[in-house]
Amino acid sequence: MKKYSILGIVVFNIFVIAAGIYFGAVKFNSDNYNIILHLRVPRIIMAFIIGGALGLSGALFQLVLKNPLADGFTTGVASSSALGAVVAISLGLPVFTIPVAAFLSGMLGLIIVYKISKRGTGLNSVTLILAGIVLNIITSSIISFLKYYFDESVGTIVFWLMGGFYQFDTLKILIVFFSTISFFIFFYINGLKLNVLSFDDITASNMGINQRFFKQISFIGAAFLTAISVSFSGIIAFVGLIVPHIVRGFFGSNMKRVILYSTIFGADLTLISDTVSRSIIPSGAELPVGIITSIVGGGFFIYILLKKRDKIWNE
Amino acid sequence: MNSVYTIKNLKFSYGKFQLFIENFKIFKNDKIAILGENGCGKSTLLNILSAYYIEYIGDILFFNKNLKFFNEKERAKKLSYLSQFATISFNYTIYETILFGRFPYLKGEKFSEEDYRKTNLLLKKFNLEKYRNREFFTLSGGEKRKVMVARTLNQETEVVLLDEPTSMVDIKFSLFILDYISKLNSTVIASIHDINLALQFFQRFIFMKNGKIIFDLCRDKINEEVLYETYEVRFNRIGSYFIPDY
Repeated sequence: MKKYSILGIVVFNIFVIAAGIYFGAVKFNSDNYNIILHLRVPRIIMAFIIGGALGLSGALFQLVLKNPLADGFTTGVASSSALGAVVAISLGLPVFTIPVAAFLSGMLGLIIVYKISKRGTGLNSVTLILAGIVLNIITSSIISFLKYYFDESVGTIVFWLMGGFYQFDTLKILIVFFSTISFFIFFYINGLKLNVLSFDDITASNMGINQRFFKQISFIGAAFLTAISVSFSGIIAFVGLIVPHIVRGFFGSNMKRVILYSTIFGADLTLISDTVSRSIIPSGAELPVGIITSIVGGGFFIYILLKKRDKIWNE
Repeated sequence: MNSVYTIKNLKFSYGKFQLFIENFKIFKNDKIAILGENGCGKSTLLNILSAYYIEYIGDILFFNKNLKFFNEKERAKKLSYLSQFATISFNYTIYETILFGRFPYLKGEKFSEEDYRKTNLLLKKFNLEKYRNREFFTLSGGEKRKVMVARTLNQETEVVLLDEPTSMVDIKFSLFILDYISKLNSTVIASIHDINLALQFFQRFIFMKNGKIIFDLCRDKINEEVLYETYEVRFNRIGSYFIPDY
């Protein structure tokens, strides 16, 4: 059973990657070999890794905030990270400082949302999402203002707010790859212990695991993975929300499995969305990838609210 | 000599509420019931004894060592705690939830055969075998409490703290759980609301009011005056039961 599911996942991933290479404005033949090798393949790698980072960060956000509706987007962390990145770019700082600026401003956003929703020993789930969405609106407006005022271009506003994989070079791919893989390895190895964070704070403090440490590192990991993906591909909404949900539905709630499969299927979902955004318009124009994920993810969000409200918030 | 907890001049404030305990000892294998009206400090005291609240003034020695000096793993092998609102945010199976009680014994990244064996044994004892693969969120309030009690006891500790173990639990299981913990070879400290239920299973009774311990009595010293002082409700004694007088 286990062997078959692993085999199934491998085959599915090969299929997703092959589809990513095949579909697009330029058809797959010997004349276009170079375009595909130098433009499409790196883009696919970027989309795949960033998708993994988004899925993993969503799993971590949901765990530490004990809230199944949390991800980088709904907590406002993604848009506050984007604000930091936009400011760093406007100031003309070098490329490796962009994720750092994004991380710091994302962390600030997370702390604000956390403080607003703190209630006794726990967090108010509804306030958390409300605060996140308000933060998202405010920071998005500031980004739009900065871009409009300084760049006088609407195109870059769309990139930051809707996401897209237009920026890739070896350095960026390496930064994204190594930060995602190192967080993934750490959280996967410690996956079993992370389950302690699913319990209420008081119970978790007496289960024999350093709750405080794992909570802090999960916060930092979730915010950093969000920041790094936002820095190079803008805000891609809802991937981190949908994927851990589906994973828990199929594989159960054990964090070891949730971490592993959220990363894999986050990568798949993002790559599929990017493939669709590249090939859905017949003339060869492309859509920002966030349009696809927002339509799918927004619908999914409403579905969860309608159908599973009583099950997801165990209060 | 055999003191498990030694409390000296403990002061703790939480908002407007203040807890003050001058001198207090808990001995090995004590079976203590904490009683008192709502908001008298029962949960606060248990949260302090479990080292969840650490911003207190005064000293608490736990096995002759400052409670604050224990690390999580060390402490969780000696002390388990069922909090008042123990809950879990994601839909684990009952088996997984109870298995997580074995975390203090985790070596490396996997539970041992012994951990699985003990979890299975506890499922059997608690008559939860048929719920083994049920999801936690599908259980009723009382069943959830039962699972959380089982998780706490799966930690197999010398000291067991329970904050209202019988809340939301039906009478049959209340009797089962109180009987079970009263026979444990551990020090048990539990807050409980039902005085008659507590009288059947505990030996030492602590009555709290406004953040202070007002009585610390053994079972046969409890009378109507003690209960009146504690609850401001008149009780009549009928046989070995106390019935509130409306």
